[in-house]
Amino acid sequence: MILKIFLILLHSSFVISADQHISRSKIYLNRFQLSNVLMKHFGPESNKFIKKYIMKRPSIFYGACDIYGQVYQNINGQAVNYYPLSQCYSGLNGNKISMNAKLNKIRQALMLKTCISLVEDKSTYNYFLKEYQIKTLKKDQVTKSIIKIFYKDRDYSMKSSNIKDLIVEVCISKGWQRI
Amino acid sequence: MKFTSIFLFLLLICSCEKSYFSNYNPKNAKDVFQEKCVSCHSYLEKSDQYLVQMEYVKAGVPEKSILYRFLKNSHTNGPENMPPKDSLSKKEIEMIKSWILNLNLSTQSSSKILVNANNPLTELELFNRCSLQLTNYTGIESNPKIYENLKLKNITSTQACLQILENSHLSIKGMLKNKNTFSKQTLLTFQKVHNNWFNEWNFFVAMSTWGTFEILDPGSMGYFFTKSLLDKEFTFRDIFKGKRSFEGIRESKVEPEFLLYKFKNEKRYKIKDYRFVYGLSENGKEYKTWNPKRVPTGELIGVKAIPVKRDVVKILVNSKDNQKEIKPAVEQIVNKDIHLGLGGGVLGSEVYINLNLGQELGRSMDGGRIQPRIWAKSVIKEFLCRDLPVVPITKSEIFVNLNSNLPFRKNKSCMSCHITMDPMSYLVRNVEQSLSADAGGDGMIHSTHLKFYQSNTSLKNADKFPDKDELFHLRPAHGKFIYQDIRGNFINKNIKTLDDLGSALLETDDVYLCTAKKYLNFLTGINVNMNLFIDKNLTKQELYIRNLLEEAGRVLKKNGDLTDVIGVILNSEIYRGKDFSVNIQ
Repeated sequence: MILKIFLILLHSSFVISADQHISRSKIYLNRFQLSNVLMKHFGPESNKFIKKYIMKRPSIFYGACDIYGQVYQNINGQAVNYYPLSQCYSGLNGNKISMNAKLNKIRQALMLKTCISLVEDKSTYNYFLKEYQIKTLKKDQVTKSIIKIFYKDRDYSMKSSNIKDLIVEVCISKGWQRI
Repeated sequence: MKFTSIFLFLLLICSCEKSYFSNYNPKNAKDVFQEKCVSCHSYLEKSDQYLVQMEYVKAGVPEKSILYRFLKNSHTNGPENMPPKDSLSKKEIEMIKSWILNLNLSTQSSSKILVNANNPLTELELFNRCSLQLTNYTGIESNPKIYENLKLKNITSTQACLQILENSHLSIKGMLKNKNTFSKQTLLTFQKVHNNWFNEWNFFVAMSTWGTFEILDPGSMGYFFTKSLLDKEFTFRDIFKGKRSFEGIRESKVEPEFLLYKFKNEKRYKIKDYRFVYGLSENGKEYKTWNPKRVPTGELIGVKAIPVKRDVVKILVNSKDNQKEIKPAVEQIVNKDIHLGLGGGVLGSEVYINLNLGQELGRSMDGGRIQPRIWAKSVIKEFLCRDLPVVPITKSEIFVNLNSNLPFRKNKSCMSCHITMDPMSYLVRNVEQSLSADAGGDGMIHSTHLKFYQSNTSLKNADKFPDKDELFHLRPAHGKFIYQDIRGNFINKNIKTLDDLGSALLETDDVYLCTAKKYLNFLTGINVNMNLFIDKNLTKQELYIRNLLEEAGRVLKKNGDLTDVIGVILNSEIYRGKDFSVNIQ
């Protein structure tokens, strides 16, 4: 009986000490921010993958579109938007998507596809190697360097057998995608 | 020879120092800032308290004050590269030094609670964070110069973040002063953030006409806030007064060839195949045409007031098809400026009222069932962050009318919402949604606009809330602001215009706290329930956030500058935390 009362009091104190008026959502990079970061690492050729897997999925990667940023021209009988970054892929209601991105399983799956594509494609992979001079590094420096490219000065431990796998592992990890 | 002399003379005049011809005669540091610095560094207009709090100056210690260390010839081993063109005179530097030496302000909090960021970010990481949020680029990309200064510890990360905002300021004409990728992006980011503060946006759903998208911008409400944030001449208070509306200034390398709205599974409509029409068709086919300016398209580079009478529709069609008695539509000559609001700035703007009217086309307000209550509810929700009811039943029950034929007027709990909504909505009683033409499609664009009834000043208002008044929409559009604010103050105020309503909202703390909490949500992902300001039993974390928002709300109320709200949040320990959290001892 005493134990029951003690447990009830303990539970109550825990409940009272929980925040009732604030809630927190972790913010992740939205599709625009992600696109810029990945383009910096993998070069202009990465745009085709970023557009396919990330930019065209505003409901997964967030980031509102700009309705009046769209300017449609007639190119060979097709209406083509001159400013693709403004594109409302999911219709005009895309202008109401939050600028703060949340994490979800589909995002993680699409990031995996993106990162694998970036590494499998010769031009984007070679851009990454050249940009960060990976091939000039000693074996024991490679892992640390690749992690630092995404995580800057933060510690993050990762191990992989080869460079490609390592890049993918770091690329899909959630930490660097947090705002 | 003569022309050469004249040319040289003119060159001499134009190359002279501005101060040669002006009345510039500085008496103190603030005069120097106003003349030589504020055009690029607007924060130097702010109070001493602000400058000390944001660490631009260290009271009493010029050589440790960032502001002083940046001055050429200050001999502090600082960057010493400001102003970029001409140096300040010895006298001007002495004035600034003297001002710092005589500052007697403390930045220490009077609270005994010690707050530290949980897993604090480094200065560079923090700048990276805000740079990504504002410009979508990392810090080193968005501003390598600021990044370098940060690395050298010449400035703090908060100052660096505020510099991003400073770089996106608008000129008098509304254009970005410094137009580049990053300033354009910052402008667009904030416009998108402000746009998201408003629930309604779809003209086709709310007003039945897709064509309205071509000439009215649903982002219009957001522009009031964007302009206030980035145009120092347009204060927070200006958002809630006047009849002007705002639009984006956009530039495009190509001309648009297609309309914006597209139906699913249909091809886009070509602009050249469509014309704007008004009135009734003359023979079942032909309509009168007009040429309103289409909403600008392209990259956003500024925000400006829409010129008065730029787009005037001569006739609106009065359609009573939805009323019980079906009458044929008639033309009414209105000569209406489609961008001119009813007053109260954003509150009475054409777009905001139109999207939130909540009444069918052609319905006149009758003071009873037919009232723009959704507009009133939206004002309370979107500008004060409150959900109805806000008036407790003990205060609303005196308004119950048991003799009313309307069920909600007889019920105490219904009246606790209606007592705020109904009399506020009376301020907008004289509007009615009307179409520019009674048909669209097949090459014709029609749009939905508000028709205003000119109030008949000889008609008086009834003292009590009418059940149904056929002349209600013609009576003077007076109302009341009946509201209990977040501090528990009960307000029961007669309001004659929407400008007055704007003033009434600005007298509450609610509007400032609401704005502050929205920016907190954008910058940290933390969402706050307004009961945070009412409940006395708060956790330490809740108390910290409450105090932070109170501070942000206070500076906004005092200075009317939205940058100050963002500055308070960026400078806080919670923004510094890796997970936006703090340790409190």
